[in-house]
Amino acid sequence: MRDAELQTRVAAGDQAAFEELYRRYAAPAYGLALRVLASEPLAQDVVHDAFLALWRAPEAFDPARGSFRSFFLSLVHHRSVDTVRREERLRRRTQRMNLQAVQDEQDVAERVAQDAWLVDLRDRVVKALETLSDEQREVVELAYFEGLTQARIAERTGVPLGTVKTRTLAALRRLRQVLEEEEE
Amino acid sequence: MNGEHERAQELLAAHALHALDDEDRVSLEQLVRDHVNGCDECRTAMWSFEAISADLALAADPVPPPSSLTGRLRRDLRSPQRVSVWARSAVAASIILVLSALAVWNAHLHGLVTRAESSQQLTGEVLDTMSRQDSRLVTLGAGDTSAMTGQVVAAYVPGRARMYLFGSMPAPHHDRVYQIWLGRQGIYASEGTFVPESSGQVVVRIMADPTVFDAVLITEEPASGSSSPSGRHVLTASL
Repeated sequence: MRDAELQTRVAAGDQAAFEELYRRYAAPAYGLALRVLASEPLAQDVVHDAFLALWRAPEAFDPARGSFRSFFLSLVHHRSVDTVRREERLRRRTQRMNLQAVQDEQDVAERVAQDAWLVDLRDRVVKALETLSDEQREVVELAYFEGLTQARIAERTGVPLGTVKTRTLAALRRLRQVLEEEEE
Repeated sequence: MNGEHERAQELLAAHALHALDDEDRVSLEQLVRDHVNGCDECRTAMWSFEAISADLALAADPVPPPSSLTGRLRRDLRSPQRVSVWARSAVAASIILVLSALAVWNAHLHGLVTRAESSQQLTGEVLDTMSRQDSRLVTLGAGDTSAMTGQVVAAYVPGRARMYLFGSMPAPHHDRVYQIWLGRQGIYASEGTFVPESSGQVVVRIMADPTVFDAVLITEEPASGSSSPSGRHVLTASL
């Protein structure tokens, strides 16, 4: 069943549909929140709140505005970045946890059980990121996965703010081109 | 004109990554109103950047959350905060209690938010909104999970340029007020400030069409209000 159809059922109070969406998106959402927050309790709070918002205000998703996947993962990303900015102490490198260690503890079979189309899309996104120059990839990763604003990226990298902005735009245009080409 | 496209898309790219600084956010709000809304190229770029940003999430290794999270979520699904059609009559009954106890309209609102002419009129407006079959009721949830935030519901009828927020909230900190924001794609516009009644009751009328927005947010700000939501996020909901 397609995401949008499941979401329609969630809006009607169908908990089984909600659990199917959870099965599909809990791992990508939690992986994203962990990557941004580097904190299991905070990542769990973010994912919990995002799914609960989905249940309590299902009408927030409007299919006319894009896919459910985009809507939901954007929600998780925004909440993660908002949280990391409120928790400045998490930025200290010395407190960052070893994400690889966490991931190794997970049940590999569960990870493999991701829907094939989601695995395929993930491969495409990773490959698209690899087409970026090092400088472009750096600004995207610092913004998206570290939650830094562009001014903070300029401070962190020593690159002028204007250059950070032009690199960001160039990076997103490149990703757009690569991902759209693959869809055709 | 090309310069305007570049400037707009530069800001839209940063916005999609959630990386805009406050100053640029203000610039983008202006550009969205003055240029992006009427520019097919920039609107298309905006949607593309937002979709790409969402897909970047997949570049993080997926990690199954612990089973304790699943249990916690299932417990919370059963809580009564989901406002459904069957619950409307109960909510309508509770609003009558809230409004009958409202001695003085105590919201100090700027801009599009108007002061109620009387609590009686406001009572009628809210009940009229609640009683309509096509009305929407949205419960605001805690913006900061560690904070005491109160309980507030947003009520509106799609297509009508007004929305009501009602419920109860604790008093803001000394020399602070609550500020209401309506947001679209992460860009927020202020809809005014208010202070709850001494009893904690809140009833606010906002003169704006909520269907144009995708989020409502209440923050705690300095008494003079803020130009962007910079204070503690107290309550929020998707619209």
